[in-house]
Amino acid sequence: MLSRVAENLYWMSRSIERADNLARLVVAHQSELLDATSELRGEHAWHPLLEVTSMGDENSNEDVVTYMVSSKGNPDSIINCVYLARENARAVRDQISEEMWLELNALWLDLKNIPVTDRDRHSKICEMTIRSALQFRGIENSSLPRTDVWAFVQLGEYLERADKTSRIVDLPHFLPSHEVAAAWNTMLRACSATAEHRHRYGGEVDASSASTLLLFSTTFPRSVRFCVRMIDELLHQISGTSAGEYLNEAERATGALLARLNFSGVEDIGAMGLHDYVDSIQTDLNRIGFEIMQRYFLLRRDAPPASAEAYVNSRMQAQASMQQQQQQ
Amino acid sequence: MFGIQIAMSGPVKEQFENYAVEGFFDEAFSREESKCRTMYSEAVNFFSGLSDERMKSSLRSLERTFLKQGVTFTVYSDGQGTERIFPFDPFPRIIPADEWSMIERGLRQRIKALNLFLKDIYSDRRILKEKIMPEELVKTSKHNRAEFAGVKLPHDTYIHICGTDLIRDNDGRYCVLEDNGRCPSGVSYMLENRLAMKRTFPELYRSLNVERVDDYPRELLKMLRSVSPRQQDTPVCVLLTPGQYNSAYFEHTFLAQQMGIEIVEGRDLIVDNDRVYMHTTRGLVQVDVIYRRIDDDFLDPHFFRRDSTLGVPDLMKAYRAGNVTLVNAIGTGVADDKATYAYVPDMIRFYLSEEPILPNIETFLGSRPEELTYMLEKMENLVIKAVDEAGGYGMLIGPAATKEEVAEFREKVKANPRGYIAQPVISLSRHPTFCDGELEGRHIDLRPFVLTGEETVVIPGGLTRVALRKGSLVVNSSQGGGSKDTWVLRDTAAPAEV
Repeated sequence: MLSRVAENLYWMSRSIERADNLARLVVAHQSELLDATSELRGEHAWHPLLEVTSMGDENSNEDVVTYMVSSKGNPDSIINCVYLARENARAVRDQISEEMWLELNALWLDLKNIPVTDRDRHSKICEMTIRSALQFRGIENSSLPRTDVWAFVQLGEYLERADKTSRIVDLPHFLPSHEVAAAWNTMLRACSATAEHRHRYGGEVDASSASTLLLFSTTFPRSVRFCVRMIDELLHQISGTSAGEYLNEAERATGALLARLNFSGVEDIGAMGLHDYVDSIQTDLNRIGFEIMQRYFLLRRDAPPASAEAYVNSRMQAQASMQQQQQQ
Repeated sequence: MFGIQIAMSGPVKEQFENYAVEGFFDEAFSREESKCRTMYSEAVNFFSGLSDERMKSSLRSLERTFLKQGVTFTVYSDGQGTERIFPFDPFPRIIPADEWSMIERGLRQRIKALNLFLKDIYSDRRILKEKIMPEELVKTSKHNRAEFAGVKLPHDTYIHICGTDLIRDNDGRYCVLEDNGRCPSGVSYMLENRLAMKRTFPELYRSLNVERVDDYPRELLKMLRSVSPRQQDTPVCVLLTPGQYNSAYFEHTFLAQQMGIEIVEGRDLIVDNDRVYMHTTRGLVQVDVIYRRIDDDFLDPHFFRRDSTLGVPDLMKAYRAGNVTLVNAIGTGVADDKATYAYVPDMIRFYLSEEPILPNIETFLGSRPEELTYMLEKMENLVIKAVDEAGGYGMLIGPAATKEEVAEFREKVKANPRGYIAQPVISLSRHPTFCDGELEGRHIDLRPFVLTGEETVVIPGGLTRVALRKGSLVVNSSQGGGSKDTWVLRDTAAPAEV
């Protein structure tokens, strides 16, 4: 696959995932605020979200919710992420299924059509984004052949999700201490993890059970460990390296982080503190993203040559399976 | 804006009864008694027999099909590049087998002569030495690439893909209006129009025994592979696009996807040691054939326009070295020049010793002094065209122009006679078309597609373009044109292919 195409697929996927997670955070926090004490009211109450998402612009005079949801000036606002996802999808329309493009295109057009004067504009944007992102993943799952196209889309999805889940776990760090206990509910809700938590731990939500689920679960698809395991598998699928070995820096960095998550638990965070622990995970994830870019996206003259025969054959196979699916 | 006209001002049957030929050559009805021509009788019966409801629901489903397939082109008026569907008329244009067989022979003859001409002027220059064509004319052609003389091309093919524009005059005679030998577009509409018509009016389609056009992508890929410079089983072919904001981007992705080849931008390719490679996630892959949808000028910033960001630095070195084939080749624009057009009949006689099967339209060249005088005198009655423009730009339709416009063009022609040609106003044939709720005659042309690699393939059909504005003779999509599906009927005497 062309490096540029791989990069477009990856960013299409990362952008929609980013929009989705941001929308989830806003909705969950909004609902939490309705029950919060007087200290967490007004503009000030939203600042923790800016902190965990590393957003913020001192020169912006928009209120925080507008800034996060619909601001044109914030490159990471939900609406800009959706736009970016759509533009990246447009560039690779011949690679993804028609329905994937239609879903992103429709979401973008729908968001654009909500009048600025609509009082519920922000919650509508969030709800539509969350719903559409779920549909997008469903379409992706049932329409994309399991080739490199799939692998790069999934790579973007899991890398972004791992990063966002880790940030959500970091939310209590930025809250007043008496709000922390309640905040774990917000986190679980933002990650659609409330039901899973109830099944596993019963009704009581505390720091230990919630962060165990969101950081270390091997089965919950939004946990950091689950996501990193997927990244590891996908990178191996792309390069053809066997599990447990590595061929490039992206694979090595992923393997190292996965090992750390596999062989530790919430009790090992200990002296380091949750905030610093999560911080170190984010540093590792950034490193992985950087190495993926170095290895697969950057144009380099010294990239190793591939055999034309093998290339055309794999491309033909992918095409055939795509056409087969589109005819069904 | 445009799209598909859904509202009808009355029942379709009545529309047919009120239809007027108005003295034009009409594809479906004879001029004298407004009688339906034989090949159209089933289509006319079919549409007349449709209930209002069925007609409306069919048109709606057509519109949905186009939107859903994303058969769009981009307009830039709102700064964001809105995608629109290309206006489409559901009444198909029908061409009987014997008529088509003449067209096909004419097109084959013409493309053969054009390829021989290009090879000749980039090597021996016989046609110039023997004074069949003035050397000056070739030398001054804007798209002449003398610096590429002597480059050896597989099968000596220069124009691999040709979209020749045909019209029918007032007597129904097919004539060539122009040869589009650079990067002709529109083939995706031909394919999508057919798909939509088959889906919407299957019973009519079936009853008529129509030649299929959906082989085009396969034929195109076969042609691309046949011109690969490397002798190996599976040459790597790519489609080079200017990018996703180009107005024809839909067509680029459509064709690449149908052929199963990579669609690349300039930045995806690098040239190393006179070979072209694309950068993939598995490393560099050598490219053999580039179906480029970028004009010569933008192909290589080291060679042509330095400011081009669309091209590939040093691509011309690899081309010269014979390590990559460009489709179409460099320098085909000389054959596209509207002044060269006037010499195509002579080329056919010179290279093939045959008489042209498809005639040209009478053409006056600004470069010939006596014709220039005539042009300047009769400008109000002529169509004046700039030799290197396309898409309906840079032209004057004398009878429809104001005094000021004519005066302005007269100055332009005087200043640069070589840059202009003149032709009589041809009253293009008309075809029944559903417009503004009425069935009315509208002027049409025809762009068939001709592929030439090792051999020449003419796709039976093409893009019929319609001037949707009443009275307009301009069919280009940028100027309010739409399209129709084109049905070439099978020769029923010959057994259908299995």
